[in-house]
Amino acid sequence: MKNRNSLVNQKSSFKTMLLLVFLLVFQFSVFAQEKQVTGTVFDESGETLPGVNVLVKGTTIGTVTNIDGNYSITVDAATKELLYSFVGYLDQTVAIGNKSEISITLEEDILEMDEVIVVGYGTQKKSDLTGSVASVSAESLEKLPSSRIDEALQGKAAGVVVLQNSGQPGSAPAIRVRGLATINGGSPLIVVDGISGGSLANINPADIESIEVLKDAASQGIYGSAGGNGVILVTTKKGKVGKLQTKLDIYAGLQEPWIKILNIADAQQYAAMLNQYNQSKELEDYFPQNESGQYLNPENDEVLSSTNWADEIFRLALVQNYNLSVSGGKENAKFFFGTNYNAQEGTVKKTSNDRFSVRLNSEFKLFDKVTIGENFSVTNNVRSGTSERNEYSSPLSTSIQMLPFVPVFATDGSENYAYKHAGKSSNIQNPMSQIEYSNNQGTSNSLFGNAFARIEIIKGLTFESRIGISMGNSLYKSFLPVYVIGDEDNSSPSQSNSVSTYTRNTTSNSSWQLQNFINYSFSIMEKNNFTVTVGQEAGASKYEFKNTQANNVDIETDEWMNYEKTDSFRVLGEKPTPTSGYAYFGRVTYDYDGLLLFQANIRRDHSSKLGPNNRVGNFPSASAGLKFSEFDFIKNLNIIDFGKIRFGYGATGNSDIQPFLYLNSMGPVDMTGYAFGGVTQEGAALLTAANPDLKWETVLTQNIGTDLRFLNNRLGVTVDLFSRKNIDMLLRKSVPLTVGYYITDAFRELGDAALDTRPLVNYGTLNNRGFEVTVTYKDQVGKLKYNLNANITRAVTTIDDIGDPLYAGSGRGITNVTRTMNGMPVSAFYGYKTDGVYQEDDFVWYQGKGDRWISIAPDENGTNVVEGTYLGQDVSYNVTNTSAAVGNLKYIDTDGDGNITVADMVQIGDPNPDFIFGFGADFEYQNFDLNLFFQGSYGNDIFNLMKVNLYTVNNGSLNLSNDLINSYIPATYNSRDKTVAPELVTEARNTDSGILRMDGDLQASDFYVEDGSYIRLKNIQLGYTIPLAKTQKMKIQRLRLYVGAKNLLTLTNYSGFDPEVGETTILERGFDRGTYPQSKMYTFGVNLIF
Amino acid sequence: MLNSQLIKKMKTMNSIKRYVTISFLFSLLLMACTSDFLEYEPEGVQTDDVFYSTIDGITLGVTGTYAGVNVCPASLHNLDMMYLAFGSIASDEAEAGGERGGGDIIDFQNWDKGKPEVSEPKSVSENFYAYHYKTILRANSTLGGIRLYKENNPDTSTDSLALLNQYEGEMEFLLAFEHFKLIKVYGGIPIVDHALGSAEYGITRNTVAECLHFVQEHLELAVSLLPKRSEYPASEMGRATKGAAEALLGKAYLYESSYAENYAGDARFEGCTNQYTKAAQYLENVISSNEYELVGINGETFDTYWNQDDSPMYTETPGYRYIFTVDGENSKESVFEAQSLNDGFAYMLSRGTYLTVYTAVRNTGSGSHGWGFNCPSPMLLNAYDPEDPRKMVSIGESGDPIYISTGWDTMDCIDSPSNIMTRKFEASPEQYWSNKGADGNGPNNFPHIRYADVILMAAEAAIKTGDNAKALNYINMVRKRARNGAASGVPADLSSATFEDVVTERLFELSMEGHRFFDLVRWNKTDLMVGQPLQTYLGGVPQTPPFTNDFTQGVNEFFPLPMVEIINSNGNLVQYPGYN
Repeated sequence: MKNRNSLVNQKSSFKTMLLLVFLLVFQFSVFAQEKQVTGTVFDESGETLPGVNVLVKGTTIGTVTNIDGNYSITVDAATKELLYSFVGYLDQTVAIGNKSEISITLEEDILEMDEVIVVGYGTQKKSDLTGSVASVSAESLEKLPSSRIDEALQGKAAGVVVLQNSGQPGSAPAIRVRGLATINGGSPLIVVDGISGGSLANINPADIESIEVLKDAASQGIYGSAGGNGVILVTTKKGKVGKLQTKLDIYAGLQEPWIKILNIADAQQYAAMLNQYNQSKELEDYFPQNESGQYLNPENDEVLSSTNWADEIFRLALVQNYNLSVSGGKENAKFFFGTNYNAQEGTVKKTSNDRFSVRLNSEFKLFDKVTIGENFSVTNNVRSGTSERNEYSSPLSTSIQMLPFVPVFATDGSENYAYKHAGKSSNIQNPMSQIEYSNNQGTSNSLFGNAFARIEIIKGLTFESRIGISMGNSLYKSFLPVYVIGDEDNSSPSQSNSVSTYTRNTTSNSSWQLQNFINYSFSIMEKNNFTVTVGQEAGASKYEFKNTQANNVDIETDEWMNYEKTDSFRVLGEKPTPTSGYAYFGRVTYDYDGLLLFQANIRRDHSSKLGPNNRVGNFPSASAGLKFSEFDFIKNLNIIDFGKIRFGYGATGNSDIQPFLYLNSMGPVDMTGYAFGGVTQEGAALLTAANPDLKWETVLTQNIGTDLRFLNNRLGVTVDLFSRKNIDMLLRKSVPLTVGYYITDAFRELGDAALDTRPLVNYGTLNNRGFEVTVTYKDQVGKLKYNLNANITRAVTTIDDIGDPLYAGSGRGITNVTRTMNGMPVSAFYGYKTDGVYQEDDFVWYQGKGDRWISIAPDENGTNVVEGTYLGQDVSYNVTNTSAAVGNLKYIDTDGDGNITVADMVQIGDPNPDFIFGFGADFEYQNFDLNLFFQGSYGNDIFNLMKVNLYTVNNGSLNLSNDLINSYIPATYNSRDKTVAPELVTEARNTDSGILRMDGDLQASDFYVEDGSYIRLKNIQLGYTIPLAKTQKMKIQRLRLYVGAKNLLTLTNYSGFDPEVGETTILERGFDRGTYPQSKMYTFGVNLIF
Repeated sequence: MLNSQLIKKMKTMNSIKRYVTISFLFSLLLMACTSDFLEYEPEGVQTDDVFYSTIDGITLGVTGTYAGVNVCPASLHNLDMMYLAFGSIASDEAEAGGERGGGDIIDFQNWDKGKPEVSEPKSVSENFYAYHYKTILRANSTLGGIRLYKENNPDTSTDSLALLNQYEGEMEFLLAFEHFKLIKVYGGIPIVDHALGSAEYGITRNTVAECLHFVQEHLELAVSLLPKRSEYPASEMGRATKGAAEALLGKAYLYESSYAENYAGDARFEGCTNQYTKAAQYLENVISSNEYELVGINGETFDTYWNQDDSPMYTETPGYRYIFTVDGENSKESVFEAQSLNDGFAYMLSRGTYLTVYTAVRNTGSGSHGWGFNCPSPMLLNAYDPEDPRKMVSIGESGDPIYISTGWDTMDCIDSPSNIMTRKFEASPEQYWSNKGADGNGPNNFPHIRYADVILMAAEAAIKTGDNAKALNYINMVRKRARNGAASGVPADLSSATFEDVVTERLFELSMEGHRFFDLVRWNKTDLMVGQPLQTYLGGVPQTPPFTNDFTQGVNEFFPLPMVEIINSNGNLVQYPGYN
C-alpha cells in the first residue's frame, strides 16, 4: 500500500492526469525576472518524477515538473530556498545559493504523514493537525468484503469502537468514539461529502474514498453541538482527469454461523440428568432404560432421539456482491459513477438483506474560478429479519433452551410444529415454528447527496456553498398467521395463535441543509501561515412514522406480501417530528514555519429541539502542536525522523433528542383507555412534563497526543491520552412521586423509553478517560513488501450525579442485573457473589416444631435463630441463609448482617472492556498479496442469561447444560419420617465436581457472569494479480483473483453463541438474551479494471 | 491557478476592498436565519392547553383519569391486588399466599406479618403510592382543562355545559377517591390539588384530618355536580355518580369520626372530630335515593358461571354470588367499581386486571392454575356459620369443584398457607382462562363501594348516633340478602343490634374484599391481629419457623411512606414515629 489515493494501482491514468495538470500549468507561463533555476526530480529508485510542485519557499510562486521530471523556474534574486513537494513523498527544501541547476531525489513518505485529509469544512495536512483524527483509507477497507462500511471499520482505528450488535444481515453495529458518548445513546455524527446526517447503511463501501473520524474537541469543535459524540467524515470517490476507467468487482461467498459448540444436552444426556435429579429427590426415574442403557420415551418405550435445534434454525447462506464503477473526466468535467448490488442471506433461515445503490458524483468547471458539482446516491434496501435478543420468543434463544427430545413436527401427521414429547412439554415455543410463522419484509429507499459551488475569489480565498438533500421512505410489513402448535387434538393453547395479525408501518423523512463558508489561506512575513474558515449553516428535517395493524386478516400465508387492504388497519402510532437548526462557525489555524501549530474553533448553534430559554449554545475549542523534530538538536540525535506533540481542549455538545420534549404532552398511550360498561373508550393523559429550560448537553474534551516516526520513517507511533466529561446530560430525572411522573416498573421491565414519563432535565455527569496507541511498521525485504499495524484503546467510563440508579437487564425471573450508579461504570452487573455450592458438611439435622427433621446450614454470623431438639437435647443455631439447600449456590453475606438479603448484592461484573484492539498485516510478494486482520476485546464480562435456565431442572420444560451430567448430587435421607433420626439412603455423588445440583434458585449471581474477552481473525484474504502482459491483450489493466474468509478463527472462553453480544441500550450491554451470531464467510472474488 | 503577476497585484490591493468582499458575502449568510426559523407549531405532540381546548379532548382526559383507577402498572403489581394486600392480607382475615414457601412478593408477606419494610428500595408500596399520585395528576390536569374551557367559552351550550359539569364532578370524585385510598394506607399524605410545577417539589405531608377534610370538601362539590346512576345509560356504567360521591363522603365522615373516637390524644389524628351525624346523613341519602339495591334480597336468581353445578352455566345463582361474577358487574348493588375487561391485549395495553389470576387457586387436580394470593385465614373459616351461604363464596377448600378449560376439576389448596382459597374473584374459562392473551386480561371488576357496604356503614352511623333500631333493620337487610331473600335460614335475623354486630357483619359480608384492615384500624381493634399465627399450614404441614402477626399498635396503623419518596423529598417528608 503506497498512498491513500491508490494511485500506484492506477499509475497509468495517474500519469495521464499529471500530464494534463502540467500542460495547464504551462499555459500560465512564467515571466523571467531575475534568475532561472532548472533541474530534474527523481524518486529513490532513480525514476524521474513528473508533477512535483516546486515553490519558492514561503510563497505560492512555483511550477511543477514535466512528464520527464524536469522543471524550470524563474525566481527573484532574493529567493533563498526552493520547496519540492509531491503527494506521497516527503517535502524537501533546498538552498539555491548561486546554483542555477538543482536536481534532487525525493524520499517516499512511507507513513503518509503529509497526506491531506478531510476535516470539517475543509482539508488539512495530516502533519499539521493539532487535534486527534483517525483516518481510514478505502484501501485498508477494500480487502474486507463487507456489506456495510460501519462493520468494516471495526478495529481499524484507535478510539473507534464498533460494537457488533448482531450477525443478522442489514443490522447496524453501534459506533462509539472514545468510550460512551452519553448515557442517552448518542451515535457519532455522520458527514458524507460535507453534509451531515447521512447514514452509513446507505453507502456502498466501494464508493468510499476515505473516512476520517474526529475524536477530540479540537477536531470536532467546528461541528459544535453536533460533534459531541464524535464525527465520522465520509468522502466518496470523485472522477479524475484521465481516460475512462471501468472497475468491476465481484465476489460470492458462503456463510456459516459462528457457533462455539454449546454445552447443551442432547436427548440421552437430558434423560440421564432428569433421572439423576429425580433420584436426588427420592422420586422414581422418569425415563426408562433399555438393556444397552439407552433412555426411552416412557409413553411408548421408543429410544429417545435428539433434535439439534441449532442445526434446524441455521443454514449455510449465500452472499453475493457486484460492484461496477466508471470514472473519468477532462479538466472541466469529471465524474464518478458507481453501482452496487449486494445480496446477503442470513445464517438463520428466512433472514436476508438485499441492497441496490447507484451513485453519481460529478464536477464541472464553469470558468477559471468557479466549480460546481453534485454528489448523489440512491439506495434501495430490502430486508427480512428474525427477532433476537429476546430470551422467550426468538428462535436464537429458544434453539438453546428447547427440549432436545421434542421433534420438529407433531407426531400426529399434521403439519403442526411440536411442543411436547415423552410426556414433557416445553414452555417456550418451537424455534422452527417461530421462523416459519414470522413473515416480514422491510423495504427502504433513500436519496442522499448535495450540490455545491466553489468560487476562488482570489488566490487562497475560496467561497463554497453546498446544499444537501436527504429523502427517504420505508415500508415494513409483517404477517403472523393463525396456527396450532402441537397435535391437533393435544395442542398448546398458549403457544398457538388464533388471531392473525398484519402489521404495516411506514416512515418518511426529508431534510435539507445549506452551508456557506469561506476558506482563506495566507501568510504574513513568510513564516506566519494562516488559514481562516468562517461560515454559516442551516437545515431542517422532518421525520414521520405511522404504525398500523389489522387483525383477523384472511389471507394465505404465501400471499401475505400482496395484502394491501389498508382501510382495515387501525393506527397504533403516528407522529411527525420536524426539527431545524442553524449555526455560525469559524476556525483559525496558524503555524509558524511549520514548527509551531495553533488552531481555534468556535461554533454558535441554535436548535429547535431545546427549550425556548436555552436554544443557543456556544462551543469553543483550541489546540496547539509543536513539531519538535524540526529543532536542530533533535534532528542531530538522528533517532526521531518526525515528532510532534499536540494538546487540545474544548467544548462540544449533544442535543440528540426528539423534538418538542421541552413541552408537556398529552396523548392516548398505554393505560389511558377505560372500559365503561364493558366497552373500552379511548383516553388520554399528561405523558410528560414541560421543561422550557431544556438545554445543550455539554461535552468537555481534553486530548494530549504525540506522533512519532523512527527507523527512517518505517516505524510510526501515535499515542493519545484523552478525557471527556459530559455535563448536564439530557436525562429523565426522578422527581417526588407526589408530582405524578413516575418511572414505572413496566418501563424498567420493557425498557421502552415511551413509558418513562419523568421530566427530561439536564443533569448527570459522564466521565471517559483513556488512551490510544497506534503503531505501524512498513518495510520491504527483497521483493516482499509488507506493513504491520496495530492499535489499542482503553476507555474507562464512569457516571456521577444521576440520583436514582438506572436499571436494566431483567429476564428469566432475574431482575435489574445491570445498574448504572453514581461513581460506578455504566451498566455494570449486580447480584450475589457466590462461594461454590453448599455441601453435605455444611448442614446439620435437628427436630423442629412438630418433631419434623429439618436440615439447615448453621453459620455463627447468622442472625436468624432456629431452635429445636437433637436427640432429646435442645439445640439453637444461627443461620445466614434460611433457604440454603445442599447443592445450591452459596451466596456471600457481603454486608455481614448475618442475613442474605438484596443488600448483599454487589457488583459482579462489568461489560466494559479493559481494552479493545485490532492488528493486521499486509504482504505483497510479486503478484501475490495477503491480508490478515485480527480484532478483539479484553476484560469485558457477559451476563449469560441463556445460562440461567440451563442449570435449573425443576420444571423439566427447558433444556439443560450438559455440565450437569456429572453435577453434584446430594445424599438422600429418609428424613420424611418425623420421629426417627434421618438415615442415609443414598450417598452423595460427584462431591468434588463443585457444580451445583439442578435445583437452582433464580437469583442474579456471579455464576452467570462469564469472561467475554475474545480475539477474532476478522479477515484473511489471499490475492493473485495476473501479470499485466497477459491481460493487456484483453484490454484489461488489472485482473486480480482472491480467496478469503471472514471470522475464520475466534478465541474465547465465552460459552454462548458468540462473544460479540453487543448492546440492547446503553444501559444494557453484554447481557446475552440470545444474539444472532456473526457468520464465518468464505469468499471468492475478482477485481477487474478496464 | 494564477500567475505571479496577479499575485503581486493582489498583494498590493487595498486590504479594505478585500474586507468589503468578505463582509458582503457574510452578510448574505447572516440574513439566512432568524430565530423564527426554530419555532414550530408542535406536530405529533399535543400540549395540555391545546388538548383541553375541545370537549373531545376533555372527554379523553376524563377517560384517561379513570384508567388510573385499576391500572396494571406492571406484571406483578396490579392496583386492585395491591389494595387487597393492604386491606385483606395485612389483616386477620387473610394470608399472603402465592408460591409455596412464603417468599412470593416479599412485601405482601411482610404486611401479612405486620412488619412492613421501611427500607425496601423498590417496593409494591412505591408503585401503589406513585400510581395514585399519577391519577391525581391526571384528575388535576383535567380539572384545570375543564375550568379553562368554561372560562374561554362562556357561550357553551346547555347540553355541553351539563356534560362539562358531569366531567368536573367525576374528576372531583376521583381526586377525592384517590386521596382517600392513600389516607387509609398511609395516614396523612401530601394533598395535591393542582399539577405541581418544579418549584413545588418540596411538598410535605398533611395531617390525617386535613386530608380527610380535603376529601370531604371535594366530594361535596362532586355531589353537587354529578348525575344519579339512573341518569347514565348502560354503556356509561362505571362512571362516578352522585350516589357514589355521597357514599364515599359518608365513608370519609365515618372514618374521621372513628379516628376521633378511638385515637384521642394520638398526634396522628389531631383535628379529627365526631362527624357521625354527617356520615349518617350522606349514607341515608344514598339509601333513600332508591338507586341501589341488595341484589337477591327479593329472592331472584341469575344465570351465570358458578362452580356449584355440573354445568358451566348455573341457572340458580343467588345474588350474593352473582354480584361477584363477571355477569353481575355493575349490578344495582354496585355503587362504585373499578372496571376491567378481557380485551386480549398485552399487559401494558390491556384494560383487564391481574386480580383474577392473582387470587385464583394455584392448583387443580390436573395441574397448575392461578397464583394463589389472598388466602382466607383459619380465623375467617372458623368465624363463619358453616351454613352461611356467604362462606362458600368467600372460601373454597380442596376438593371443591372448579370448572377449568379442560372441564370439571377440583380445587387443590396444597400451596395455600391456610389450605383454603377465596372464590370471590373467579372467572370462567370463556371469560378468561381459555382466551386470555396475557395474565393481566382478568375481566373482574373490583367492588370499591357496594350497596351492602353503604347499608352497614349506615348501620354503624345509626348506632353511633343512638338509633339502634335502624341499625338492626339494616343489618337484617344484609343478612336477609345473604339468604337470598328467604324468610328464614342462615344467617338468621338478629333481634337486637350493637356496634359489635356491625363489626361481625362487616367481616362476613365484606370478607376478602379489602375492608378488614382499614376497619380494624379505624375502630382501634387491631388487638385482634396481634399475635395471630400465620402460615400455619402449607400442604398440611406446619411450617418452620412459625410466624405470628407482629402488628405494633401505635405504629402499624399506617404503612410507611415509600423509601424512595422520603429520599426524593430531601427531608421534607418524614415517616410517622416507629418507622425510622
